[in-house]
Amino acid sequence: MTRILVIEDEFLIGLEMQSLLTDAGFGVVGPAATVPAALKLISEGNFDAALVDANLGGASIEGVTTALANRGTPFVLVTGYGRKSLPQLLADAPLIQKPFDPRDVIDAVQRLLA
Amino acid sequence: MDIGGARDSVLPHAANSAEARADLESVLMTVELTRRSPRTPDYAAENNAMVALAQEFYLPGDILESLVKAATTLCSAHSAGISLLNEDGQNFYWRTVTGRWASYVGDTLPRALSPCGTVLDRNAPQLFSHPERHFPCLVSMRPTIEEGLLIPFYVAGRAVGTIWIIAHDASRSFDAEDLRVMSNLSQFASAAYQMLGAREQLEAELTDTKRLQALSAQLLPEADISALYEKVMDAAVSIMRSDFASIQMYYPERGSGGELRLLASHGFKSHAAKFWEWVRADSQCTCGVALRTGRRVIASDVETADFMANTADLATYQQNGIRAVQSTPLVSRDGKLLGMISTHWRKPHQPSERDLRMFDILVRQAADLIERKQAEETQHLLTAELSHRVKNTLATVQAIAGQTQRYAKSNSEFVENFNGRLRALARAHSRLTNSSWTGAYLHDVLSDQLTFDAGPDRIAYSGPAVFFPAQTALHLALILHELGTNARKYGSLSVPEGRLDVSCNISTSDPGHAIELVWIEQNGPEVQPPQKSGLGSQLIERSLESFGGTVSTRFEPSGVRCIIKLPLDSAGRKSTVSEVRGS
Repeated sequence: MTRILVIEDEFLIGLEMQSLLTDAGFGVVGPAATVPAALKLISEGNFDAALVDANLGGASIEGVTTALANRGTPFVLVTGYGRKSLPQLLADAPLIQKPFDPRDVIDAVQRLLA
Repeated sequence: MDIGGARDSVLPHAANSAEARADLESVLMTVELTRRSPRTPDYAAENNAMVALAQEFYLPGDILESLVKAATTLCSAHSAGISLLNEDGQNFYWRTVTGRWASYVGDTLPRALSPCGTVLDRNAPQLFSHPERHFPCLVSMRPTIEEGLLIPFYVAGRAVGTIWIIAHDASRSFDAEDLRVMSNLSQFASAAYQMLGAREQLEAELTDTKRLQALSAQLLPEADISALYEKVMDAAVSIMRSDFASIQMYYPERGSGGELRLLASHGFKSHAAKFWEWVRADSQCTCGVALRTGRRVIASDVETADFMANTADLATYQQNGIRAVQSTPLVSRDGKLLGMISTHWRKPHQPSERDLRMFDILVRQAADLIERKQAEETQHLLTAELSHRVKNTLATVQAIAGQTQRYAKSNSEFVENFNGRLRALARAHSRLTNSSWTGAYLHDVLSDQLTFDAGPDRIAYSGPAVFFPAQTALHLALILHELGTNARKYGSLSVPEGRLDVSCNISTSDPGHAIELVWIEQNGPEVQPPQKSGLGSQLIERSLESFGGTVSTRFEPSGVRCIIKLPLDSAGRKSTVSEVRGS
């Protein structure tokens, strides 16, 4: 089963993503709500792609995205901020705006895995 | 003597041969003025000329030109002129010349090498005969001087120039009568010179005032602020007669004592703009000192300013050819430091009181500009933050809808549960908005979420006043809403005799779980654990995990018992505990 790591600090949104992915036939790792929790799950490495909330309780997510990039794991960012507020390093990363269309989330994940 | 030949300038400063140069005394014949028998005074002509000149005082024309023409006429001179000492006192500027030498107007001669200098040195009128014999500058001038009478004139006791008449041939020789007429005219020249100076100053003030007025008009809210900085810089350079200018904004939160950031500059090389992009409060440049003292600092010569000696700031001034500088703090109307405006000169310079007075008007405008810039930046941040919060809230609402729908057995159950959760979220938002999203007190969140009519004696709260950060308070509110809804539907609050006690204890032994919130339902119907976990129980059990919270719920025969533990420091922002509040 293809597994998706969900990194999201809002419990309800994480829960909803989990449901959407499960319905679409994916396995879910997480949701991780903090940077340390996310890094721990990344180090365990039991997933194929990741959905990353671009704002984890105000903490920078660059450590998380770097860890994913080092593993060669594709990821898509999910954010309520515009692309302008992303760190320079992530300027070209795929992005889903909050609030999201559930179909866009599944499409984005399938594109990552294609 | 070589009198022909091509020369680079009209008034060459070098002698062509030193041995040919005559002694100064040999070209002076002032004593002749008294030896010669004076010509008959023409008082009528003199009177008419003086009246005409006096009337010109009130006209916009060039009164010095009229004065020189009057000297030519009254003394039947072949040429006449007025020479003014430059500001540096080293050169004479030929301000006005009429007659055969009219084409030499505007030239300059070094003071030390001109007859005018001799007149000032001796502080008395002098009559010269063929002065080119001693003054090489005059050698090439045509026609040559047969004799020249020069009279000094003064302003406030200081010699500022000479008025002179020349005879180019022997047909005219000057005497005591010419000296008398020229002495009168020199007094007139002094008055005219002062009047012109005052007029020039007035015109300069008018120009600066107009510039300041134009700037005021541009400080209208719709104008682009960055473009206005450039205009402020232009005005600063014009008013202060400086070579450079800069404007900085104060960031009090940076470093210790704050830092100044360069917003705009005039004339700086990129190296200097880089060096002074950020200026710390302990910097030894004038703006650093002005930042610390809150007052204007003037270094009229950076080479001799004690506070700058041997500093990198002094080196940067030197590299950029800056010799003098002043920095003036920009202060808001309520006394807050906003920034700094500085002007710089290539030569040592002490700005005059008049320039500083004008400049202070610009300073007021620049301060208002910076204040507006700060307000706009704050507004921009607030708008961006609001937009972000709205989008995240909508995403949360979307998730609540999706999750509520998953667990709902019917449409009406979905509508009821969704509306209940939406209203709980709305109440929490209202509460947090009151504190500008800094957080909320536990007892306020409780009373917000337990809104149903249960009677004052059935719900009790005891514990200290605990202030939770915004996100913790928001999730706690959603949990209390779920617990309250369950209590009202199935628990103690579903029967008239049931009651609910909520208490909060702070333990000092375990900071990780220091805040303990205890929810105890009593006198209600016997409760059973739900057969299947719903969204409510997931919210209660897990939504505080990311804040370091743990929740345990027990379904005891006497009623539901729920214990929520949270660290004092949740989500990086401290929950604060103040005085104990009664139930």
